[in-house]
Amino acid sequence: MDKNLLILLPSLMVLASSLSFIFLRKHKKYVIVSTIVVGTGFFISLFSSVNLGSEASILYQLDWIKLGEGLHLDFGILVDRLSIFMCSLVLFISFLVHMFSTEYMKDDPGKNRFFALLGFFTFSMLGLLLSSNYLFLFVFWELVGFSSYLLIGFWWKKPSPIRASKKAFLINRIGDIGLLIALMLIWSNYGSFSITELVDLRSSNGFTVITSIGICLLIAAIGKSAQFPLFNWLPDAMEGPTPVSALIHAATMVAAGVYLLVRSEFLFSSDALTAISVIGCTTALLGGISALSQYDIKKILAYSTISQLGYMVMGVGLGASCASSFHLITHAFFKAGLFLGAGAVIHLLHEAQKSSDKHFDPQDIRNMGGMKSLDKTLFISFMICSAGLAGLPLFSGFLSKDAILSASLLSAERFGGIYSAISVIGFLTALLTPIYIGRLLWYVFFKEYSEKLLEIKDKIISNTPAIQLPLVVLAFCSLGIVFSLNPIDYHSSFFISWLGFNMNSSEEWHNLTSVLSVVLVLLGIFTSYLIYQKNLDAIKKRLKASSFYQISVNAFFLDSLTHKITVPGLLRLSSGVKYLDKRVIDRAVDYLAVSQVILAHVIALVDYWIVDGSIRLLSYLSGRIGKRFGNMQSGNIQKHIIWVLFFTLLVMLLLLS
Amino acid sequence: MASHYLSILLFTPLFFLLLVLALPKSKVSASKYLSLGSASLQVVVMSLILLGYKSDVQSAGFHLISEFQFVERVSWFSFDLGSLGIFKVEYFLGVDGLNITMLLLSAIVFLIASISSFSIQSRLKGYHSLFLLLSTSVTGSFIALDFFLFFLFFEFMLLPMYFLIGIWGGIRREYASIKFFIYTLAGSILILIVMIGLYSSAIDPVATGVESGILSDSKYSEEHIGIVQSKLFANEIDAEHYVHTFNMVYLVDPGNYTPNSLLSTINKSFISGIPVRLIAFVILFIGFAIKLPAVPFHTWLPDAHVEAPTPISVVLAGILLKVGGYGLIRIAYGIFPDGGLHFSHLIGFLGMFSILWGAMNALAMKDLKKMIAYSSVSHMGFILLGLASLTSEGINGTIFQMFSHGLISSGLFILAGVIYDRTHDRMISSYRGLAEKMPLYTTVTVILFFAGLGLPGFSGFVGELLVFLGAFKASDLVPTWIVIASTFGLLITAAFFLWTIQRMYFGEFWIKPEFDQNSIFDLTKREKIMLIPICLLVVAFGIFPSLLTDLSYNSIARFCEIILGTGKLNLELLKP
Amino acid sequence: MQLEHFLILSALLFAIGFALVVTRKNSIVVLMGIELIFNAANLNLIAFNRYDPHLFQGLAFSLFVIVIAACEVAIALAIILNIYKRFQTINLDRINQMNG
Repeated sequence: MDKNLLILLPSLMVLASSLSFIFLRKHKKYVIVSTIVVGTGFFISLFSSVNLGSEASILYQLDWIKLGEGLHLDFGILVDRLSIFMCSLVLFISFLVHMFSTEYMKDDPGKNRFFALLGFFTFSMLGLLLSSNYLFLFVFWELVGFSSYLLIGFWWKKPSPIRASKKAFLINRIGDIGLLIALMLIWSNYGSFSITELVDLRSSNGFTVITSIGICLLIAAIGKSAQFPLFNWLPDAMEGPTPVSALIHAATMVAAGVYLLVRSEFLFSSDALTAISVIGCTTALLGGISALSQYDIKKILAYSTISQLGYMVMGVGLGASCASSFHLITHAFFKAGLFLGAGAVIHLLHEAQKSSDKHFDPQDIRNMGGMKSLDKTLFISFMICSAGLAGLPLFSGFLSKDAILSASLLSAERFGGIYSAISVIGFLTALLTPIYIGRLLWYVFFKEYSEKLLEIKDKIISNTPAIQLPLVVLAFCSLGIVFSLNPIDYHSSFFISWLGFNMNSSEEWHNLTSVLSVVLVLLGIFTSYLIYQKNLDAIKKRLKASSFYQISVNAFFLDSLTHKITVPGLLRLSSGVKYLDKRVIDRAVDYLAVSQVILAHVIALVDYWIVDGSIRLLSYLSGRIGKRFGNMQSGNIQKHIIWVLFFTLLVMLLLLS
Repeated sequence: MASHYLSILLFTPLFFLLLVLALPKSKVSASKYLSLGSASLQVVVMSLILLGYKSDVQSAGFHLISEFQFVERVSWFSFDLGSLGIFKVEYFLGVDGLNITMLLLSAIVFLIASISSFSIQSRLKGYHSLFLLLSTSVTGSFIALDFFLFFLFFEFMLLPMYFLIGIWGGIRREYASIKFFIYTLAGSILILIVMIGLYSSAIDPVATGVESGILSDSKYSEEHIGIVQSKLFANEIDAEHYVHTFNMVYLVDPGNYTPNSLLSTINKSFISGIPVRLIAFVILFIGFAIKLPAVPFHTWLPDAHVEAPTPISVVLAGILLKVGGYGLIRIAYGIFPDGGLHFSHLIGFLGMFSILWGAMNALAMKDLKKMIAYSSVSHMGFILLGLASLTSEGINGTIFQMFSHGLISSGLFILAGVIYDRTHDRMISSYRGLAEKMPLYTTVTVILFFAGLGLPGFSGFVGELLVFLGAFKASDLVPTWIVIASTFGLLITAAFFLWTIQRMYFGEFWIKPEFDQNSIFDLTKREKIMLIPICLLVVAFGIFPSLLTDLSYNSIARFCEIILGTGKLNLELLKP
Repeated sequence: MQLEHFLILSALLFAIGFALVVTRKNSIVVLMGIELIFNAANLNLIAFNRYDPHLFQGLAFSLFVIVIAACEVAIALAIILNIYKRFQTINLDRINQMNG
């Protein structure tokens, strides 16, 4: 057996365990089994990636649809270090999330369904990563969207998750259409979807085609990776169970857009790259600003995710896809850690609420506070992950963010103009990140207990190992040392060298970036310390009164744009179309039928009165005449005699005259 | 035996029809088992046909009689019309890649519909006789290769449909059935007009050769036909020796048209400046577009669907609409490739318009069944779009889309029937949170809805993907903006399906208080027997589309080659 | 006495006779009307006899007519009797068996 088949094994295992739900719907051990399967899958994947050569891109190629000689759509597996590494990452986080969920979802009646869906999602994600061509990338791209839909709407009895899941799917669908159009462009211009073949083919076509493909791929990434202007589905998607948010809406699926862009790097023209970086930095800034003023712990993290995804997309646009994939990976760890930490917090409060029969929103950070003393493990791991997010030196986020920001400085130097603005925005966002995460930490951990929390404080019991272990592991993975032996310089990251990326181009800017970002992060932390810990009420009030606050809370009103303009507009348009269909087309048909009937009646009248009427008139006349003259032959001799006399006289009269 | 599979397939329902008619009054309830038996037997014969079916290039069919499979060809009747030649009609059945999948679909759909017909309670004998008659005529119109025979079956579908909707239908059944009847009859008349024109224009080259003494026997051979055609071209054959034919395979070849005839490519006949052939194409196109249906000829469909009983909706959406699509491919495009090329922009536009118009209407519908009916209109738009492209991808996509829509819409109409059987109400707003009481029903609904909105992994995706790829590739025939506009149909389709799921199936359980609260129960055994195989098939063809495309891609490649080749040539010839 | 007086008298007789023939339903009265018409004719014949050079033809004719009228009356009465026997009536309107 080919040892590379081993790479496929995890996905097949996960798929099998997910599909076995159909038969094991009620089985008690299903949850454990699927967790173990994903865990084993992770180890197999890790093992196979260790053995992988650096240049190896192995393809399994099968005809999926044959359309004629030399015309076929293929199914293929692309194995290189990037894809296999991503697979391991997905399986790893999925495994931790599975483990976390065994505890988090233990009382849910539908937990088997939950695990089946998680498994299906993991399978689709693996498929997306391993696809050797854009067609199957699209197939799995949609399937992850589908599993995300089902998982966001997991609690289908409540109206809001269902609404959120529909919104997520539909907005993703816009991105999917972008990808579909990209697919059509690729097919009609190159006749092949294969990523490896396209690398050789791309130059054979004009600039416009390449740019339009790039823009379409960007649209796809905008949908899936929640970029401006389509990012408002992601905060809503937080209605799903928290482990889902950690796995899908922080670490993996939303990163698929970035993965797509990284994979398609060779297809982008300079115009497309500019568009990508503009979209990316806009998203980074907007997400960061929106995260500043949310009160729902998961929404803060969601906007933070949007902002970080913006970084990644920006990185691709700046030509630093390596930095982007690096950030994708570090972000996956610390953001999954943060989400699971948030989940742990929510779980603590939820359990305590259940045992004390008090109810308040367990996701609102105003209801928290002082939690650092309630669960030490949770606190420490959450702090480490936050440090990763904020980009403190020695933590993973610092390395990857540094890489992207260096690239932005490099581009700013090379091209100037818009790239300078992009670079400035990038640094500005780096300042925002510590502010909002500091605010979150203050509200959740450092503030004194909120009144509501005080009531149930005694009931809070520390989390079980199933919850704590994933947190600890993810916190460990947020340390810079895990990625680079020199935890303040990403150039020494063995991740980058293992993937074979070339990073030397931005070396000269690295030192400046490091210093700048450290300054900014410290400034951010200081600001948030000033505002929240020192409790400068005057500043807070002023801030709250400002329109900036309104913009931030409402995330630049993109949501109301959707709900007040697009959706009602579409519905109004559809009822207009219905009206036209009913009143114009169908009415036209009806009127056609009615006019036929009227015409038929008119013809019937003509037939009756004119055609038939003239016949009847004739017969009437002849009848009358006949009757008149028929009287002559009545057989009455006396009448005959009168007639004889009459005619004799007549003849005589005629003869005489 | 093997050579008569098609006749067996065709006459099985008729035989069972006789049995149904012979049933004594006390045993009338057995007629549903006879329908089921007929449908099952058809499936068995169909699988035998599939086993013997060859899909290689040498059996691609379409324009060569020798490459058709399971051919049955007998002269049915002929008259000598003196100086006008000879009028000849054949009983000519055959299978190639263009109709094999449709035949398979009709076997599947009729099996499902016959199971669904168990719910019919009144006037069983009449119902099942008409149902079996419908089965024969649908099968016949797919396998007939003689235009006359095709038209016979095509017309004969109307009669049983009219009564099935008009007697066993809903409240407004009379209106719906008469609308359906008149609409489709109008289409048939248009087809008839062209059929008469074709008859007067085309000849059977072999029979003509024999009749005029050019050929000594009627053995079929390529070069013989060439001789006859060149003599015909040189006007060396007397009109009284013409053997006029309805043979659709001969009609494809422009060489078989008599030089002075109305529809000949070399006789430049125009009506107010437009070549007659193009006019004939338009007439034929409208005739089949009514059946398809394409916007703006679609308004019979929602009414007919809403009023028809569930099994008839299944047949109507599942297979009857496909007769229109099949007719467009083999007859409108096959016989008038010039028209197809000339009007491709318009046809593509009509396809896009149908996709968007149907989807927008579905979004506005409050009645579940009406929504599904409009989604059918939207899905049928893809057929026009794929056809207009005239690429291998596009036509494969068209045929795949027809097949997959047949399965999916059958399933969807059964789903609508399930809820209607429970409460006799199809309004979306009458229900909420059905998932709680009907988990399996909801699961099946979600699967079929997502299949309908074209999620990969389900068959709906493959058809739409291929159509899009083909249409985009043929940018000279279908403008790019049309294709891009059509993609928004996917978004709207997703919107109305998801919105319906949200409103009807999820949330807290609630139904209108006037309903019997106990009437809501999950799928019965019979419903499961219908729905679960549909779901499995939809998934199977979604994951392994080559199961279907392998049957037909050679024929389709041939079709595209011939259509593009002759079409361009004919258009050159037709220039004034 | 002028010829006109005779002619007027005969015309009157003829008119009376004719009126009887045409209007009365009783066959015997009709027969009497016919007799009056005969006599009107006879009167004319006799009156015009004056202008006959032989003074003979008119008289001869009128005698002839009288004889024939007598025969005719005899036969007609016999017929009427037979009719009466057969139909129990001599009303002309009732005797309409030959009416088509």
